[in-house]
Amino acid sequence: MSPSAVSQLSPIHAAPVQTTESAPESYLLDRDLNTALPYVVGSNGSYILLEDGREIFDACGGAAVTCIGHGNTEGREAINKQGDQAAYVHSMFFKTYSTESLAEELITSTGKKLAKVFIICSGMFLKIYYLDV
Amino acid sequence: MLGYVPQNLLSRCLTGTHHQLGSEATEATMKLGRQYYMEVGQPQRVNFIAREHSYHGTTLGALSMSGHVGRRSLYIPLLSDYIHRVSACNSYRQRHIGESDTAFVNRKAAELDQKFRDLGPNTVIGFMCEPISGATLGCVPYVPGYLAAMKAVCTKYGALFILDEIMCGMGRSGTLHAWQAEHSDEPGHDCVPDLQTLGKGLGGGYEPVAAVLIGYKIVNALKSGSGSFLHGQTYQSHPTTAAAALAVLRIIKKENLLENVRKQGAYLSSLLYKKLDSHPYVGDIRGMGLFWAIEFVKDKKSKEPFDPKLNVANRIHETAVSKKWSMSVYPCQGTADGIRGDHIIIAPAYNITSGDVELIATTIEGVIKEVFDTLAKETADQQNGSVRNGV
Repeated sequence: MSPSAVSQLSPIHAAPVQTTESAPESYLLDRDLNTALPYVVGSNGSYILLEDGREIFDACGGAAVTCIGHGNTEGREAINKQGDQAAYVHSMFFKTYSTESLAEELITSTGKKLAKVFIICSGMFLKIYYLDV
Repeated sequence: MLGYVPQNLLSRCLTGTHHQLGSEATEATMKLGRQYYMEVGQPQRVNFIAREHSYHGTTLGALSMSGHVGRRSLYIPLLSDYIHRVSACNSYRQRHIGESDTAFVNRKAAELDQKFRDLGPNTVIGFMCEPISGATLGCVPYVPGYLAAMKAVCTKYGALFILDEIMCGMGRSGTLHAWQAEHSDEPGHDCVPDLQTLGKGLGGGYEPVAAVLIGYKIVNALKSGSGSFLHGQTYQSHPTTAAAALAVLRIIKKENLLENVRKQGAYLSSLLYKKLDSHPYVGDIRGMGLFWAIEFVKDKKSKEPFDPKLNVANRIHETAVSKKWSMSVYPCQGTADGIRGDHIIIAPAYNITSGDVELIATTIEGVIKEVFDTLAKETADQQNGSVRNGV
């Protein structure tokens, strides 16, 4: 991936570039309350595009997160495809093939040395049972 | 009293989203471990053993499990008393001169064994560690034989062997699960965890997702016992999130990315050693696959870290991301003792090319030179200023 590839991002990737002379106070609780962060308006492969036009090579994947790079269309299409079927159902009443398939592939990847997967996507929910031991 | 907490650590603690989902995987793991022993009639098992310098997440249970002094400092009164510690497996700072892998691993296993006996072996739920340390210690890999030796101690006392692969897992180290590079079905090489956490690379940034892999004995105990895990979350098993994680996993397979992680990882490490190993302020270069850290020290021989106020790791990040270099690297402080010590992490995408690897190595070499040249100039200016002022 060459840096120039990012410059040719499709309009879906890149929002209109707006430059602000002095950054206004953020409403978001940023990581550091006293430092203004640059806005990202595009990304592709290993590159992140800033609104001032700079292209940053992401050598750490954020915190070792973006393992297949940025802007992968297959990843986004998979989200949309599942979203067309059902974006959310409650796990106490229903399940979807995407969650079961993910669990199956993860267990297969261990050589079936582990048995089941618990998938977490945040949100605390209290379910009350009493365990008699 | 707070004492001195490096600024970059504080900002990460207070704003809260760091490792959020991985934290929830740790929480679920702790509760699964506890519930397992309740199901099998061993309610006296209440203790966990984790390691110093570890990081398992930011929520109160996960932070209790974590051994990173800086990140815990504000919240100590709120943290659990049931978490106990053994030392990390840090070859750079702990290995005696001339000590073999086997001798070093035996020392670690003896320490864990002693900790079990101190606590009462039948009070321990499990031992948890990162096979390759994450952000807080900086990509310090297990020493060969370590994982199997630690599991053997857990098995001996009927406790669980728990691996945190939130940062090092999902292919980052060159195998899909880090323990797979060490495991064999031959006796004495069993590294299969009873519980394993995953995060970060699981969703690859496309959706926030984490997971816990659960071993047969725990699943069977739940199945034949109460029949359900006493823990639920609103967005548990979220469909579109799982679809994204599944797509990422399939891309890793389809594009044969694990092989590229191993190949480019070997190239990256060879370039980093070549360019930086002899640098006077580079103490250690370590990692596996595409998960590498560079630890900085004031004195190569004594391994004395820099004054945290100099913010060496953050300066390297800020210089790297500046217009001249335009590269993002991950900085962290507390490497040496939880407060002092600096390292950066290099963890690029699995599909990088050899050209990308060369760009990373050359840029980091240039950035490190610029940062230490600037520091030297600042120190010289301060000294000159002091002389002029007659101090």
